[in-house]
Amino acid sequence: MQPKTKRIPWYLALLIDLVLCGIGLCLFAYFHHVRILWNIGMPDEPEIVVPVPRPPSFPSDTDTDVFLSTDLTDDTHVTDTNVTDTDASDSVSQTDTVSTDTVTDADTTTETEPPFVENLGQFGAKFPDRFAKTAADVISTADRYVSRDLDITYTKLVYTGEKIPVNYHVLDIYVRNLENFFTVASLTSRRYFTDMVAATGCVIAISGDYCGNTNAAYEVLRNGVEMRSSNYIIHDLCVLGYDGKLSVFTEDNYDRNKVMALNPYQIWNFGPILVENGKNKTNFSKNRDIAGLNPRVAIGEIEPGHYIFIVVEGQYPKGIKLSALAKIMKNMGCVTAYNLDGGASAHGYFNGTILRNGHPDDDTPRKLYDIVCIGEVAQ
Amino acid sequence: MKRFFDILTEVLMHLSFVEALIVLVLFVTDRFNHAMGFMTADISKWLIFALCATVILLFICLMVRFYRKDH
Repeated sequence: MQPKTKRIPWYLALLIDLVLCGIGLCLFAYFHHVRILWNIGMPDEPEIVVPVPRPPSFPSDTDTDVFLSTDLTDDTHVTDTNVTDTDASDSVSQTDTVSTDTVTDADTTTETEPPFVENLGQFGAKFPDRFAKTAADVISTADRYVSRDLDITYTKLVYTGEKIPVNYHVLDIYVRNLENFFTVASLTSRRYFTDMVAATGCVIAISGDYCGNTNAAYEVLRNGVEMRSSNYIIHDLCVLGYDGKLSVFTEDNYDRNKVMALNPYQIWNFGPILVENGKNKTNFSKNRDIAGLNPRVAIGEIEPGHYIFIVVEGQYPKGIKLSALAKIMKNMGCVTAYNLDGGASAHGYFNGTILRNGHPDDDTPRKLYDIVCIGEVAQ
Repeated sequence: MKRFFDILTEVLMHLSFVEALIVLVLFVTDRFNHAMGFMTADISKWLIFALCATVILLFICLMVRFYRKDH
């Protein structure tokens, strides 16, 4: 007769299995959140890709050459603004210091024929009355900012469509050049929103799409530099082309070749799409997990060069639903609008003011991977 | 050889249970926060692959065991 094998009790075996499962989950969390192990198309840690912004400068009215602006057309992308960091007062001579490989014919304009400043730049001719023509036209107040390259109107509104009214901030933005619309992003390190804003000196900032998310199906492209690539996506995708147009893709119609054909300047991968072809979305069944009441951040395009940013305050049960946000964006006149990372990530900033009052995490805000900025950049 | 198959079967049995439990937890978590990509991250795909491999090996071991019993 064979000796009977001694077995451990079934409950002990089950307990060991559960402990092993716990260890497995911890390991998963470590490699999923902290240390990314496999293949998400990450090049050598592109840290922050951003032109160096500089406050606007306005010399005397006679020095009109200072308004020379890089003409960003489809064929002339400024991907690397290697501008010498000289004092703003030297800006008259700065057309010589701009990296010549990216600048168009604008730097050959002669001093004898001062250009019509209001028509310069990518969208200057489109919005001739929007931007400051002289130092006297510059405005920088709590609700308005006008400079050589920017025209921003800030409005604080209250949404009363839910049981608890909630504040939301609307930023109506005109830019002279697309380079005034830039991002700060890192795939590997998170920083406080306020630190990133301070580092850029931008006029407007909102939270981005949390691009360091380890989700493999992410396409991340910032300021013309592709930081992560994916042949498939699981969230709606938004492309800002060098022509200033916002385009959106769903996971069903996503085609990486089509996206790249749009000549992308920025790509966000969060969503969902709020407004497409001037029609607001009403069905967010695919986004049930984020469709409820939440603080929100969204971007929208009225026309190339004219954008709307919205920051909604709150935290459950305060906030607004995606459907309501889509309606607001449509009513603002957006042809295309797209939701960015909200919830505890929702941050906003305008001209010295943080647009995020009353959030429970205000004392210890969430660190972010990226922000979207509107600001002055060196010409 | 028989003893080896017995031990292997037992190990694979527990391993498949542990892996299945982890996948189940990730599946449920993914329902609540789709944006984090708990089911679409590469590490998750490898985990599902490991679960499949373990279950197939377990199937082979059990087949061998049953075959021996029958004959």
